[in-house]
Amino acid sequence: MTAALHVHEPEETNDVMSRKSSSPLHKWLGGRHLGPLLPTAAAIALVPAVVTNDYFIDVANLALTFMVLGTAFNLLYGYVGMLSFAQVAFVGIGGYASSWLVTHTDLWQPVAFLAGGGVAALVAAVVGAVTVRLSEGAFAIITLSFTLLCAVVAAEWTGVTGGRQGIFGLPAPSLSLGPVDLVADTPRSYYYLLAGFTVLALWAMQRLVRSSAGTVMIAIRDNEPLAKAQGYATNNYKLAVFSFCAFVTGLTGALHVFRLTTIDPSIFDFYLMQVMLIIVILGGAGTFWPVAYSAVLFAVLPEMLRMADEARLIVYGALLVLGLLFLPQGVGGFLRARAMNRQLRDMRGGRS
Amino acid sequence: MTATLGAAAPPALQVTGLGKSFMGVAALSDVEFTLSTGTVLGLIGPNGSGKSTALDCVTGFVRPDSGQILLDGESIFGKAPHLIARAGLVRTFQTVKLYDQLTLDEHMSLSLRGLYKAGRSGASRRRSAERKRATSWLVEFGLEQLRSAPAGILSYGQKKLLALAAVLVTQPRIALLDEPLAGVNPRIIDLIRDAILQANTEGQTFLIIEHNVEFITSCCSEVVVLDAGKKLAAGPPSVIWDDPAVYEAFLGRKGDGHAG
Ligand SMILES: Nc1ncnc2c1ncn2[C@@H]1O[C@H](COP(=O)(O)OP(=O)(O)O)[C@@H](O)[C@H]1O
Ligand SMILES: [Mg+2]
Repeated sequence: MTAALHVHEPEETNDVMSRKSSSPLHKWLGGRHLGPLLPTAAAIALVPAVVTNDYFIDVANLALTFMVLGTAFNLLYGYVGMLSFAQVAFVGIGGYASSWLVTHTDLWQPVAFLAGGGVAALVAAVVGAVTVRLSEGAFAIITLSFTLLCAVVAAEWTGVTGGRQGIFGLPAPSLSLGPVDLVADTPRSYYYLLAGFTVLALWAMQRLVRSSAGTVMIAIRDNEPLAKAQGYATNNYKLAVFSFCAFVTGLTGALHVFRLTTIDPSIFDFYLMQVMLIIVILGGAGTFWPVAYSAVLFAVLPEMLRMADEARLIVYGALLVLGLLFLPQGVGGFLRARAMNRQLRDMRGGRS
Repeated sequence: MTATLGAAAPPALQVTGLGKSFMGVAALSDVEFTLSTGTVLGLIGPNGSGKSTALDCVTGFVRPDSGQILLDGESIFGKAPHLIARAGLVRTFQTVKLYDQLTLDEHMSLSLRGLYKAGRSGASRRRSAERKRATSWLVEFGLEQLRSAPAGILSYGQKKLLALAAVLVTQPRIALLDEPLAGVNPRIIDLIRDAILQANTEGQTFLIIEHNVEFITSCCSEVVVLDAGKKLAAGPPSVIWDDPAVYEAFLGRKGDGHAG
């Protein structure tokens, strides 16, 4: 057997064993495909109890943001095979749209955040309608150009975006419903907001990739012509996933800029794109949880090492090259191949 | 009543005046053929004669420049590949195409799910019948023990078997196979030929591109010969081989190294 086995998540094949404990709620949440979601949610919930320093809580806030951004990019690149450089554009669009709505209208804040995601999804639908049918390379180049265009628009469209200064002094997200009055005005309170959102977003994205539509997504990545020959409208799938990920990414962008209380054109910098690329490629494109955990690593590591921005640029570049050379499937791909090799050995052993 | 019905039913697939050029070079010109329900039509010709291009045109993967393509009397000319597939034209590819990271079972169920018309009655009974059919094809091809393994680990011959099984399990209106025997060993050739003959006995209609003369002669009821994008001859296999033009077209290009 070849060493470089790329194998679909092995846990999906063991449905006989894991069918026992399934209450209706468990089933609705995703049943046997729930996997590490609950332990991960528990770990996220425990962080504020363990971490006392507000500075580290803010690092954890960044880690949650990266988890969602990285996983959304993983859905596109790792599962459907779309190398979208527009993800950072959707972060910015979600951020700008929600900031503008909150500072210029009386729209209820939660709705303004959702609208940030909605605008990003709408823009994605328009960009995607022309680009998803193109080749992988053309799609990458056009989405990259789109991000560069967004940076220019953000800097020049002063009336709406505030030009190079951007929009600042964004109010803390607050929610008052009758007696309940919640304000996310400290890193700690913001953490609860982000934690809730992150668990929800991870759950939704995991549901998608473990559903039958998720199998079609992998099929499109592995062989799009065959998927077409089997009756699947692959362009529609790609457009839908592209828009869905833009919604999640735009909403994350809104929460990100309100945490920073400011947004300016630097949001479109290559930095966030590089972070998403390294999270997904080293974590293992097309593997769900390894990528989510790799996001935590790449939020925490630079803080631990107190890396300067320039140093990080170089170190990340070197890590990407090394990863592509020695671990092209990422850590997740390596683990998956090992699990599949073991399963194949068992299948052979069980037969003789 | 049956007599008039039989006379009125249009052929399963009727192609007329099919033309396609790539950058000014004609790959197909004025090709025509007719495929009747329940038969096996062979499409043969030297390499580069346009067989695969014809199949690509019929299945929507290449947009033809001209002509008419009727499936059961209705035009499918220029439609998108996934719509043509759902209409019942289901194909394999000359270079075997599979999903490397998906399991054999997932291949079979994806194929069934994508190709079966939604909303038919008796969904659950149908689904269990489908599952049985999928299993029996995997058993017949000796693949059942690998059913939860990813297709990427299969040998070349096993890949061709899986691609064929994924088409046959859907019992399409017409199964179109592009060189199903090319590059596989004699044992697998026998498996594939038996599968095609068995499916045909059960009523499956086929359009098959092949170079293997013995296979063409034993399986096809009708053969269309292409040469340089033009239809050179048509008829039952026994008659075709006696045609001097066909003989020359094949012998003249034996050096190109097509198999069989
Ligand atoms: N996508 C394409 N672009 C340009 N030329 C093509 C393309 N597909 C096929 N051709 C040309 O069309 C001719 C017929 O090819 P093909 O249909 O593959 O032949 P066959 O299947 O009979 O061996 C060849 O000359 C080939 O080079
Ligand atoms: Mg060919």
